[in-house]
Amino acid sequence: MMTQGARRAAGRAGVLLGLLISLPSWGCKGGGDEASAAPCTDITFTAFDTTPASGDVFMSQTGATCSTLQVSVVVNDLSGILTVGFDLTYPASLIQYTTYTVGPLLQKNTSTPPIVVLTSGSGIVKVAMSRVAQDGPVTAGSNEVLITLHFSKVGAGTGNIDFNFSGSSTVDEKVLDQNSATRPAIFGPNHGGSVMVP
Amino acid sequence: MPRAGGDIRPKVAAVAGFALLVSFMFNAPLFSATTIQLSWSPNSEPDLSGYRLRYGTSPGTYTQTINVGNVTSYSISGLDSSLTYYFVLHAYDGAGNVSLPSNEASGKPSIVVGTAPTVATALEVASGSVYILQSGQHSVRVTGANFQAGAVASLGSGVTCGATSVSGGDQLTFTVNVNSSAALGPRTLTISNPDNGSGNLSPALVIAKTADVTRDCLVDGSDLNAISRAWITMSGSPDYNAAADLDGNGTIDGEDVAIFSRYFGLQLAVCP
Repeated sequence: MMTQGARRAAGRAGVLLGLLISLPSWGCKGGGDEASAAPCTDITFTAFDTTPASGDVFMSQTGATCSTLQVSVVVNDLSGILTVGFDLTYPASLIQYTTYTVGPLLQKNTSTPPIVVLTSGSGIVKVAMSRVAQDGPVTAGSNEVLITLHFSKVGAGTGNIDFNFSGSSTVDEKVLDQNSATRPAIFGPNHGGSVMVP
Repeated sequence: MPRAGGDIRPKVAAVAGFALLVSFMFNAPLFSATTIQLSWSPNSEPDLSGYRLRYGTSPGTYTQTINVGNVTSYSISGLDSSLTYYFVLHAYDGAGNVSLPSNEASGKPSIVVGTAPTVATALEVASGSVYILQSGQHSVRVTGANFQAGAVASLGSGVTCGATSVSGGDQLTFTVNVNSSAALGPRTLTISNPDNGSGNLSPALVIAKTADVTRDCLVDGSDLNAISRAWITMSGSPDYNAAADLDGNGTIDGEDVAIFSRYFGLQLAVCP
């Protein structure tokens, strides 16, 4: 049987619960009215290489929100791919690199996951990825994704993401086969794209 | 003045305070060089000119004599820390009168060791890793406690450690030159303070082959290709590539990728 004190406590709890339910929800987007929140505009990435030729390695947007961007490195029509190495630059004042997702290309028929080594600094990402010898090289058909890089918004404006051919680059852009021979991959010029952050 | 004729001797009281203040100062990493500090109470004669210190390694037999001047303390360096030394003092005046010897003081100095430094972490600066490539010069940053200015670092044979720079007592940096034939694998780092305190971390750093497997002065995809081509091969097998076995353990595996990844995209200090 409930005591009188317990009943008073239960009554107060009920009043408090009622207050909580009736409180307006102060969320982000100004006042909790989701329908009236101004929609944000997605980040956009416009690829420079819109008609990829055989052997082209180029960048393409594979996802975006108003605060994130996914750019994939894509290989078109190239055989004998065991290892790929490249570095790219991006506008650090607009976006920052956050993570990556390995694409399906190097994961075809593997017994061992591809080795991926990626380092990033402000405005630069360096990538080396390879299948192991036991899995052999792989062939890219039409526009197969090697890796997808994820970025998040830092500021507004426009800039370019592209492979780094500058003299200060410490990573050669190249695709190698199981004999360490260089495959006829073409990373540029202008195989990246422009990014616009609203 | 001290009385002439050999029967005069410093007042016992004047030399009774003769004492050995023994300490050792290491010339690290050699611990044989020592310094012994002696002090005594002064004679009271107004015409006292100075003292002669005699010492040896047998009681009553003093094979060495030093005119130390009119002082009341003196340090002798280069003594053997394994021996007991015996000391007496003679006072002399301006006229050449020399006192009889003081009482004999002796002692086998004990080693005085300062507070041992603590070595918590050690990293190769460029890669931010524990891996030091087998050739060239590298910078090493060490964290810990009780580091003293003038501390000496040691990483074993084949690795020459330069002078250390101490910051705040808890951080120490130095350069290392790794001989191209230095043994691969983990190394113990020893830090020795000037006051003889020493500490170590084991393993602290790992000597590895250069991550520039292809010797093209870049650590990039070509080097990963060399590792991948020899993946999970062992020394002696046809596809094994010793240059890609960065840790030199006889197998091309994840440890080699780990070393590669720490140097990937870096400009090497020395191009192989």
